[in-house]
Amino acid sequence: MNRMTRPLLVQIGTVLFFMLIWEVIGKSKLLFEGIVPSIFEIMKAAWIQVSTGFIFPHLLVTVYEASAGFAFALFFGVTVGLLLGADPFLRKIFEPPILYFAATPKIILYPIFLMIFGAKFESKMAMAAVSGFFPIVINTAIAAANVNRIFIKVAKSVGASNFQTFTRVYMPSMLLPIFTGMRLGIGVSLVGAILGELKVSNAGLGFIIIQAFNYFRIPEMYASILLTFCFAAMVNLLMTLVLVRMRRFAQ
Amino acid sequence: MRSASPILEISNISKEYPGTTAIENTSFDVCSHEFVSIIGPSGCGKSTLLEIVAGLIPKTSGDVFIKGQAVRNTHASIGIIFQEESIFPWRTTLENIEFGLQMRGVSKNKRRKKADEMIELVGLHGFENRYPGELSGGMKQRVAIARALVMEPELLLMDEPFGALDEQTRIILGEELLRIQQEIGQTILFVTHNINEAVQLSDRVVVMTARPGKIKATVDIDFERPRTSEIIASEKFGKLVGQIWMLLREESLKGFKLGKQ
Amino acid sequence: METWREKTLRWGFFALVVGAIEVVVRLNLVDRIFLTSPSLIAVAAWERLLSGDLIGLLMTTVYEAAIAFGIAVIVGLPAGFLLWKYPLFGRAYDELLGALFASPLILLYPIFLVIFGRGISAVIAMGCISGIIPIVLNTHQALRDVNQTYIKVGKSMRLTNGQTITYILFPAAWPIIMGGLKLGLTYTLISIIALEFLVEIGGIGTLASKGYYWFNTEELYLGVVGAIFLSMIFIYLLGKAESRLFSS
Repeated sequence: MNRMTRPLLVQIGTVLFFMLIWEVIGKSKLLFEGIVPSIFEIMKAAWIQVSTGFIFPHLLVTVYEASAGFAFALFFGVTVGLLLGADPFLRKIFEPPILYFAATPKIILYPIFLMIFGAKFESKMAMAAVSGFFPIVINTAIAAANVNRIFIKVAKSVGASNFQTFTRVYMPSMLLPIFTGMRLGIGVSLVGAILGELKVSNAGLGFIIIQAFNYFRIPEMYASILLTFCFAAMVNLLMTLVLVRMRRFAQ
Repeated sequence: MRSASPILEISNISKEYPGTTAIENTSFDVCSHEFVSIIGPSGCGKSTLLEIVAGLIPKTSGDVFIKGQAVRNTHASIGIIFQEESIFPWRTTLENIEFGLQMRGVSKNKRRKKADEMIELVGLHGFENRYPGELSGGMKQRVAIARALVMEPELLLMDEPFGALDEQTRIILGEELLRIQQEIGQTILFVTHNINEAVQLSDRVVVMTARPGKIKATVDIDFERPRTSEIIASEKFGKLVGQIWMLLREESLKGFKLGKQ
Repeated sequence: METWREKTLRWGFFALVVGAIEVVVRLNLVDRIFLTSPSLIAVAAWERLLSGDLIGLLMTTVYEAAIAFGIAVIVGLPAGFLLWKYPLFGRAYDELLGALFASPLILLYPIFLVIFGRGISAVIAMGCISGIIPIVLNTHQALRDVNQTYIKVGKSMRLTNGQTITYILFPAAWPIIMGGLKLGLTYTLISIIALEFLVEIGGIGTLASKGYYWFNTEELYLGVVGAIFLSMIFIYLLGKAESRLFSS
């Protein structure tokens, strides 16, 4: 049993242990009937949702909302981030409130979006946009502010224009941190959209979760949550792989 | 001048790691009030030897005796100063110095009194309530020295304590160390890679070989005590440094070829 | 350090935005259903403040956060310590917890509702889970990062295990542990306010939700502003606490 595999065994063991506890609690009379359904039931419900294609239209809705919102977040995030990064004075004024705001629950703004945009896709897009904005703007500002001054001096000394300096010096060195911000941004944009769906919606992953909850179709609820979680994890994994590739490329 | 009683006896110490022997059959003594330096090429095991004496790492074979008592673990009458920063950043100078006494259960008043004495001894008057973050490298090492000395150890081990400091601070602290040693008659075993420092401070310099470390030679430094830094300019100083360098050079080249340890 | 100039500019900008909203609303440029004037929000706030209503809501949120965070600390700190003491588990759970930390735990809230019922326990459970993970991770990391030289000093002075933990390990690890606590409290508060809004179980978040459903725009904005205000106060106080607990 070599040193590398032992933690893995502990991890697997822990997951299995929790699954066991879950089954035991579910079967016992400790909680209400049906609150803790058997893992098999949940898996079965999840399989049904996938194989019948039930989940895919909703998945698509959520992806649509999150992507559109993220696109806005990217545009505004990078723009504002570059502005702040380039101008230390602006940064000193606006960075603290942005940081403070970043740590508040964005879902609280949702009713405002609901009023402005109604209960359809746009309000969820707004949620995704506002959520994703912050990691992007923060990372971009830091990236822009920390571009190695020496490189800039080199560019100026060989007579590069502002545009050239921007494309040849600023952009390459900022690429990695901005992508890191994007990775975080995509994650929170997705969650923002889903949270909006959980509250007020008629389509999307959040919608089917809360529907199942309201109609007390508990195994289906767990299944939908599980699938949503898996999807979010997959997106995160994908972005991480992209980042790893980029890191190798950047070095 | 050596007094008759050895404080420290190192007898046939060996230290082996899987694949390599760090120290092989090393023996020497340190007598009461003596200042002995160990010098050797990088990786020759001098720091390892010191940590074995301190009881921080186990030896493969051999014995270490403090005043006749065998040492297997850390020992209350051995103090050690490290090269890296070792004073606690969350304690003031005074609190750092008092640390060992506090752990031994010495009363607050008594600790404070002894710590104050130490502060005077190492020349840190006025810095009692500063935090390490506010002190220079040299001052921090003074605190470390005070912390060790306040415990009144029979033997003080010093592992390249001034290695991280600039040359001028090093010389000044070396003088301070000599003064302190004179004042309280401390027995010191001192590891360094700096020949000037070894000659300036010690009664004897033990030269180690490259890995596996053994004793190549011992050079007596017979400058009179109390010493001043004027001796640095003397001819005898230069001769001694040269003598040690000749011994060391061969070993350093060997160590160089073996690569970074 | 910030200059007064920067501070006034920032607050000035903020005042400008608030003033612009006030003007836009007063001039009836926007339907009153969408946006009320800040002055009306302030009036509603004052009334609710006087009736003790607003304080009650804020206190509920704070109370829930305090309990959730308290549990997170009591369980989390020892857990982090154990992860350090038993490195096999440390390595295993570091990865697992790291993955959990990066995942959207808030999406699990319906599960908490189902298991704990639609009450305060669900909110506290959610808050607790959100906060405990950074605490465990940071505590573990902090202990691992302790400078080994400090430990050697302790050994050379023949400290007992208890003394080493109390007088060397813990003080050395404290800065990063404190960072974890700060992070944990932030996440706990965010989860709790979010849940209050999503499920209307009380507290300041619920005010925003109710305001929306009952077409009471003043209440809605009061809830929104109140929740944002509460989070910001928390973060500000955390920052102050952090700088006070560090003497060097």
